[in-house]
Amino acid sequence: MLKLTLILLLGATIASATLINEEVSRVIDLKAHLVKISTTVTLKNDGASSVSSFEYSVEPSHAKQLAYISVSQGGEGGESVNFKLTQKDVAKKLFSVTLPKKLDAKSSVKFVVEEVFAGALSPFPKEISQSQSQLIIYRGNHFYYSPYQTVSQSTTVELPSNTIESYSKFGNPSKEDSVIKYEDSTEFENVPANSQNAMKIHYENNSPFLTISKLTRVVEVSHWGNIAVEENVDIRHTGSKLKGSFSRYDYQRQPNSGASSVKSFKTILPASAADVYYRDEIGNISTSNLYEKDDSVDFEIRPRFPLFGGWKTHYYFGYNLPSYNYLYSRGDLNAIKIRFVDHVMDEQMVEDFTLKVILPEGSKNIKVHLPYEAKREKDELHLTYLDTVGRPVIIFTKQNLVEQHIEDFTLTYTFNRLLLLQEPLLIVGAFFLLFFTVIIIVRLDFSIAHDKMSEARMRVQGVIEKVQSEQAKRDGCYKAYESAVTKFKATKDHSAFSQSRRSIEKDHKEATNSINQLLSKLREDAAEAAERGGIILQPKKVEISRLIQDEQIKHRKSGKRGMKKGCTIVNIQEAFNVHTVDEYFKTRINMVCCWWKCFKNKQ
Amino acid sequence: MARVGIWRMSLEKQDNLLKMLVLAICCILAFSVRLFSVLRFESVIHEFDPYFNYRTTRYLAEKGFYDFHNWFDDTAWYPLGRIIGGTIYPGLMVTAATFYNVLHFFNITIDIRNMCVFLAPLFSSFTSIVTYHLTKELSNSGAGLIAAAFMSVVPGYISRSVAGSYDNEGIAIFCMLFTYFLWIKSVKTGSVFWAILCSLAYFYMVSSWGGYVFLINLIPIHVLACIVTGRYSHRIYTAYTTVYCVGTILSMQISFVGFQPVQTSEHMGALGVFGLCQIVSFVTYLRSKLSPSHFAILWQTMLYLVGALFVGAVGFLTFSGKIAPWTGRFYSLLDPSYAKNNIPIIASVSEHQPTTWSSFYFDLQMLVFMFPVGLYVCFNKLNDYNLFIILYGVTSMYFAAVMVRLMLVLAPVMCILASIGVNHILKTYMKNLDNVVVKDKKGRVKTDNTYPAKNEIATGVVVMMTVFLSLFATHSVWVTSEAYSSPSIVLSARGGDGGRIIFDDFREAYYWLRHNTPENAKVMSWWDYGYQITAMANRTILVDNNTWNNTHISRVGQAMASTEDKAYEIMRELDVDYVLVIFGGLTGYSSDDINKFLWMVRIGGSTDRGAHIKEADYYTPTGEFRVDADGSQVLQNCLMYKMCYYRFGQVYTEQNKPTGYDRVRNAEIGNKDFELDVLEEAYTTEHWIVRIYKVKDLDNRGNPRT
Repeated sequence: MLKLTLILLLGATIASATLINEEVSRVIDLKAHLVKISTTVTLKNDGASSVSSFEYSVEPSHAKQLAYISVSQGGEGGESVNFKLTQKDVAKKLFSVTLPKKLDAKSSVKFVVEEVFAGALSPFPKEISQSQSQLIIYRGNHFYYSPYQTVSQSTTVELPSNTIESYSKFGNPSKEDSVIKYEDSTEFENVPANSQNAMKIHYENNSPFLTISKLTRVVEVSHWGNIAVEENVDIRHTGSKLKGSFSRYDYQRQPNSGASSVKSFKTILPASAADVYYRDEIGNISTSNLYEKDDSVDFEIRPRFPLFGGWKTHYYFGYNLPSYNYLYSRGDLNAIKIRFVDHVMDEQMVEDFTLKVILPEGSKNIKVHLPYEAKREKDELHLTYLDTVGRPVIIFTKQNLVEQHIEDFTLTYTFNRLLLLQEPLLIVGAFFLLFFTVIIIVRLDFSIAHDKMSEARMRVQGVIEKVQSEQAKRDGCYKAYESAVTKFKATKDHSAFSQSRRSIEKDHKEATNSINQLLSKLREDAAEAAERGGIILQPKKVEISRLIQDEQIKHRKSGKRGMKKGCTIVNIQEAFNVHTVDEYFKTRINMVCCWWKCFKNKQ
Repeated sequence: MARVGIWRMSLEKQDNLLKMLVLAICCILAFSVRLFSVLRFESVIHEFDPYFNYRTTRYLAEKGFYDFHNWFDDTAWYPLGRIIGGTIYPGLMVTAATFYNVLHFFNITIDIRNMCVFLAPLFSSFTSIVTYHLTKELSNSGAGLIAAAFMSVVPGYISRSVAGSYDNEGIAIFCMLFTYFLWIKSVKTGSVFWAILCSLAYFYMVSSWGGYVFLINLIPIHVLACIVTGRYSHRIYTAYTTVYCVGTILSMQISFVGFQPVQTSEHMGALGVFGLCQIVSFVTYLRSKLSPSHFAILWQTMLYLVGALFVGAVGFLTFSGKIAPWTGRFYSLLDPSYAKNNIPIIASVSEHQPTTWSSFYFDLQMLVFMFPVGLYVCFNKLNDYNLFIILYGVTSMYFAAVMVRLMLVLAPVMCILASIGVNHILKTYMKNLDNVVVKDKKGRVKTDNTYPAKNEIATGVVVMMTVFLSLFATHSVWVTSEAYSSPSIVLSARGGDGGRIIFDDFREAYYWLRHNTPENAKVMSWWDYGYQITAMANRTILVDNNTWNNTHISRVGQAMASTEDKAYEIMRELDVDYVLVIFGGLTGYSSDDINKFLWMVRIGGSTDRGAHIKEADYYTPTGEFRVDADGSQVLQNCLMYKMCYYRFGQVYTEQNKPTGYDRVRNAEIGNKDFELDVLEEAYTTEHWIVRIYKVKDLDNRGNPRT
């Protein structure tokens, strides 16, 4: 027991004997729903040896509400240097601060401690009616709470308005407009270590007391050039609760009605944000405005209904970012650098935060560099359009985040660029499969019974197609013949003409022969089919009569043409005409006769 | 030849390609013309019933079919609750959920809401394909294509199937036409295969819409007509007996339908015709075996005997309650004035009102006058299946005239018959168009003396038809965009500067309820808003659009129509925490609760407990319904009036008008300055369209606060 006291005493003497807070000036900002304390401390090493670190302890009554703390030096002119903080006692929020360079004996160092407390303000009365203003109580400490002795100190409390119900009068403070100063009093000189004296300020604060009870941020990275961000927000008004009725009439007509309620607030999105949407479970929320500025996109969010004390709402919004601003890659190695938590509203306070980063399918070797500690949850898989094995999802959670936490984090991973082709190939493959199946079904015969009729029909169809192509050839011959005739008319070169005529006639003969062959084949086929039970030629009949009509018209036309030309070279032309017309009709009529016969037989 | 040369296709293939092209365009048109509301507003579910369907579909997609089937919903009809699985036609939800699950299986992560929103347009595309096939069976493929085109844009059908209108009718019309198509097929072929397919389609139809009753009456009527006109054949016998037996057994698998197909009078016609078929077949058989004189004796005896037995049996079953009495909805079909006189809850629905002439033209335009042409063509070459479409046309015409919502059943047959008519006209005159001009030897044009100006007349008729058809398309698109594409949950109006003002008050209020009331809060409102409140606000409600319990609705009506202290008793009895009313007086939104109030009075007064509520008390002595100072005192002191006009007396709504000027009724309200004793204003939306009141608890001594 004695030993323990001795050690304690020793510890205390070492701590208090060597370091002294020479001068402390505190600014307590109570304008919003967060308490922001900025303390400028001049710390002097009064001991004999130099020290490399000192202790900093958060005021015990607010230790649980601490959301952010930083200790930094300088700032005036030069870069500010952040000191390293290590937590010694989690519950009491006792920190050990490492100085950038050792503090020699009898020398001093000046630094600034920034603290943000969430939920340190409590409304009183707890319930107000719509016409009342919101009154808030702040309970703090008149003294700077420190494990060291403080020589001189001053405290400035900044309030949002002049309306102050009451404030503690310890040390005879001065009040000017909305600022209360605790200074220049003997009470504030040579205050021993760890001393406390209750400060209480009861004042009007109508600033939005909004707390984001849950924020889920989803960042979906695509190597096709887009990063999609979606934020899911649950908001609660944590000020004085609304008592009694909400009157829309008063709210619309009386200017001071519902002073503490929140109609709208502003979310600042990155400057390159596009395709912004704002929705909730039941659809689009139409009450919002978007202002594009040079360095940001200001998104004015108006919830469906004004938020009074105790009311809550839920919504989500999202936008797309071009990936070239945030995604860096060298070979297969990629790095994404984007904000860990982003701005939702001014003076924001997030109780429960989840960040989900969805990486492209096939990303590996994922490494993370966070600006501050956060808990990494188990990875998940996300399956959406054109995914096969799923996209890896990296999840982080963290509690109590404020505006000061808006910082970038970096995530590196490897991604094979060839995998980019996977999605288009999937689509191509799917369509190929579809068409292929259709081709298979249409082209192949899956029927169990043997259908002779349709087979014969298909055969006839094939022959007809061949005949048609031969006929096209013959058409070509006629055209060539005509052009040869015209040429002959112009040049009167008989030998050239007869030469070309011979070759054309040869072609023509070949074509005619093959047509005749085909026709005879067709005749056989048709006869066979007719024997076997007949072919249905009804659709064909129409087609053939159409064909014949076409031919007739054509012949009438070409015949007329021939007559005109015939004035000069009657003999050739006439021979040609007779020959062709004859040929045409013979073959055509043959075909028709044959089909008619088949058709009749069938019937 | 040239075409063959370019495409290398036979005429048959070209024909197929052309048909497929036209059908594909019809499908795309049918889908895209229904997207006005999505483009103008957002992908949101419309109106009232679709919200219930959407909610149940979400439940089905999340929890699976068995949970859905056994779902007892305690958030509706407090304190009675509702067995969802046994009181709905599940076809719609199952269809949507199946699509949803299949797509999700392929990792197409479509939102269930979007699936619901776009289901009706999707099925409209399917409907136009089915219409093509049905018309092709009845007439030819030319008429089929025209019918498909008509079907894709006819406003009468669009009115129920725009994107977001997620209701039974959206898929039921598809099912109905599909069943008809298969029925025609089975009548044509007399094959059991088609008949079985037909009964499967009928099963799908039964599972998706209560309108299947029309179908199960129409098919027997067709069979009966065939028997009467001497067209009865073995094909019809096979088709009908198969369809009736299999179809009825299948339809009884839907738990909401249950034993109705063999018990209720709506289904008796089908059963009767089924019996008749057997008798006719038997008689035909006997006649072929007996001599004419013997047969005559037997025929007469049997006729009297069977007739007497039948009447006796039906009478016995009806009185013993085995056959359900003729339900009100059925009576109102036969006698338009029946519902209005007897069942206020049926008459109160605007879509149960008789159809006006203008709405026929509005919804069908040129189809109205092409319909008789089609009928004429069908009569001209009457056969078994033309007879069916004629019967369908005539009966649905009658039903559509009785009830506005049955316009939906009429629209397809209008399309089919009109397309047959249009096709006939075009076919007749198109032939005369490519009439080759024949010249005589002197080069003069030969004219046909029996048919002068043949070509010109043909051109004129074709041009006229083209104009009509294009006018029809224009009209349809205009109607769709102007009349049928408003989601009704979001209202929009033109502002003074020409800009669009959106009134999103409904969702504002429902969302407020969802987040800022206790989870087990009971909300009382008129039944119209029940489905929306359960779906969007997720709170328990007393009555909703499934108006199955008249007394419960009547009780709510009584609360609305009573004075504050009387209403307080009813509200305490029903455990009400919040009361929600719709009020349009500030914005001029006319379908608000004051305009519906007379129905609340009527329905409230229609039961024993509400006997003291008399409609006449709410009128002025001259029989007018007025909200101003001349209005009845009973009206001005009832709960509904007070909730709507609470503090409204201080508001200036229009220039040069006194405060409290109601812009719907165009009157200055009579009772301006009053306080509420038992309620307090909990929330009023931005444009005052929805007002929510909280029911005060008993005071400290347990006394009511009046």
